[in-house]
Amino acid sequence: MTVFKGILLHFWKYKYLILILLFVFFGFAYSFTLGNSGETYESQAMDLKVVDNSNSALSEGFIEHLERENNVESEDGNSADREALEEEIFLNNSDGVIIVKEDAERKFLNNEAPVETISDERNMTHIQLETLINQFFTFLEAEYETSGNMDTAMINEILSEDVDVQMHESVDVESENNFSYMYNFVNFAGYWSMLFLLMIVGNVMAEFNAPELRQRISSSPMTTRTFMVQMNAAQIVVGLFISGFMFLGGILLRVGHLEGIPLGKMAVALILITAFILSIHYVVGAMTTNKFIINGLANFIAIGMAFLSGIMIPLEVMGETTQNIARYLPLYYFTQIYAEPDISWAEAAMPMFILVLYTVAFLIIGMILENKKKMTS
Amino acid sequence: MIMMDKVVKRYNELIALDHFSFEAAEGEIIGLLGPNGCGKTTAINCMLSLLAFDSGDIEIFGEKVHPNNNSVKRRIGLVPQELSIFDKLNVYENIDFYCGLYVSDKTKRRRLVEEAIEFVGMDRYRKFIPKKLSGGLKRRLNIACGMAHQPDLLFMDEPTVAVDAQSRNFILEGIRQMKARGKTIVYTTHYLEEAENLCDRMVIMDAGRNIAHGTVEQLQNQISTQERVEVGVITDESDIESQLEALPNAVSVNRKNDNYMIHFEKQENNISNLIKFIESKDLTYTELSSEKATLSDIFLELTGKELRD
Ligand SMILES: Nc1ncnc2c1ncn2[C@@H]1O[C@H](COP(=O)(O)OP(=O)(O)OP(=O)(O)O)[C@@H](O)[C@H]1O
Ligand SMILES: [Mg+2]
Repeated sequence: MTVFKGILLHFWKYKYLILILLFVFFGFAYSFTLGNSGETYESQAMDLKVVDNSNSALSEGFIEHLERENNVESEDGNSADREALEEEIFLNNSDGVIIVKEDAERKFLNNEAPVETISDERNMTHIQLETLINQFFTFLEAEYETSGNMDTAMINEILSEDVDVQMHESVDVESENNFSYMYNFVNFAGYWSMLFLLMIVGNVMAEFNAPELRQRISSSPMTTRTFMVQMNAAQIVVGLFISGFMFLGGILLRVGHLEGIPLGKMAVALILITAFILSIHYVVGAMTTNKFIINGLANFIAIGMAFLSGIMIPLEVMGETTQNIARYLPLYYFTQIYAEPDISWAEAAMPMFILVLYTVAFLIIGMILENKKKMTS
Repeated sequence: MIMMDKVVKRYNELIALDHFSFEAAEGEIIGLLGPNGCGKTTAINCMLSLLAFDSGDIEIFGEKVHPNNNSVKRRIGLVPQELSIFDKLNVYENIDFYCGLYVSDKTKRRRLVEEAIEFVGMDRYRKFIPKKLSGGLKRRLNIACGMAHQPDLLFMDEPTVAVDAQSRNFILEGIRQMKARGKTIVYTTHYLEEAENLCDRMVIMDAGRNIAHGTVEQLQNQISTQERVEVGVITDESDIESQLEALPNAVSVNRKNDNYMIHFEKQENNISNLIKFIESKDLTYTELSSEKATLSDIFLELTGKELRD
């Protein structure tokens, strides 16, 4: 147990840095809560852009519905350039773009989506917008089913009364809200533990793996295997402690707002990403014990992957190439494990499996490098 | 106890050990001496199977050395030439870590660590991390880490470099005590005097070879110089050097200003012959001293090199 304890002792020497990093993390997380908590959430006027490709009674009524409480800028369907629209969202010039499809009425009757929205999913207005659109079409559907026609004027009249208040308070919005917060929280926790573990595990192991120390340890009766087992066990304990601490902290911050969140899948996702990070670290450690390089790589890998995996910027607004690259990155699969509030274990199994594959792949690369290093020494 | 037979170790072109043979008996302190780069550390690393060698045999405790021979490794300790201590662990934690590689019993280990701290006289510094220790104290910590588990056989690779005279004596005394308890110690050093005082036997190495070995007396008998006499005389005679060289038993004379260093090959009436010679010339001597051949004479004569720190 000497090596296991020795490594834990090393982590303990970094306790202040660990505390600071956790503190900063929860600082961020807490500031999200202030902006996003279900109780303080109030609908606000949004800046919307509508591209009307249909020019029908339906689209007119729909736009009227949107205009009631928001600033809406209508645009003719012909002049719409999708990329420019996406850019609007990316630059925060607009809270959402709604494209009314060409034959919206027919689509509505066929139970297809008559409109398409582009908005930033991590923004709270996203949910407000979705709710707003759903309101209209839910009422329209009810109206059509009872009377057989699509009287948008009447619907707007009904909706202009106090119905929207009820809608906002409905359980659906609340739990969607909960999910959205926790989704972002776990994304952030994944990114943070990546940075965190790469940095701290990297530094500790660089100290522990210094050649003269390893040689001195080799002169003792400790076998390489025991050494590796104890070393990995210590890292796993620290990794799980850190991500577990973040996860439980997140739950504590949100007590009472945990409905509609796939907590089990999120926990599994965090465990898997921790294992994956340790496997990256294993590769880095096999390549170098230079702390400067290790810290540099840690930042580069963590930030690069986070950026490309949609944790920092929504994937939808990135170019197609970037999106394609992102689909190959492990962090993307991490987010896929808990991507929907009602995701089933069967659906989550695939991204989990892929993340495990990544981990195994990195472990194998690390072993190959480690062996190469041994042979040249 | 240690039997190293014609070991060859090559680093590409360079031959670090050239059919090097070495033996150590139980309970002795054996010195491994030689100039920088002669292969002392390499020899130790081969004995510890930290390095693979090209040919030859090494046996310790009657068993062939092998990286996985843990029963042998358990009885061995190493104080490496390069500091191998953890920067982030304090003195106590460092010693405890290394001791823990050999001894798993907690109570026993606590006792051993305390003894090691006392052995190197670092009680005051037990909570210090290496960054706060002076160079000499770090060396002492390095020693404590290597011997805390009280091995039967201890390799010490230049353990006292940069350690001040007082703590060095303290450590040397400790090493003698270990010997008294029946431990075997292989010791490399650049301090010849230290080796002369401490070691029962010595092996002199040069360019990866064992060029001489034995006790100091045995080594002295292998060289021509037996006595060194230094004399100060003031004279105008230019050929005084050759006249001194003509004295019985004299081998060579070196002049340093008014001082002459005369090497004699036997220790027989050399001083009285010298005094008679000086008086016969009506000269007076300003100083006169005589010394038995030392390790550094032995070294100089055998390797043609001076061994300095
Ligand atoms: N890893 C290595 N690769 C190549 N050559 C090496 C290596 N290690 C040592 N050598 C060479 O082997 C020779 C013996 O080195 P070694 O370290 O054993 O000398 P030493 O007697 O311990 O010297 P010192 O008194 O300076 O400690 C030296 O010439 C050195 O340059
Ligand atoms: Mg050496």
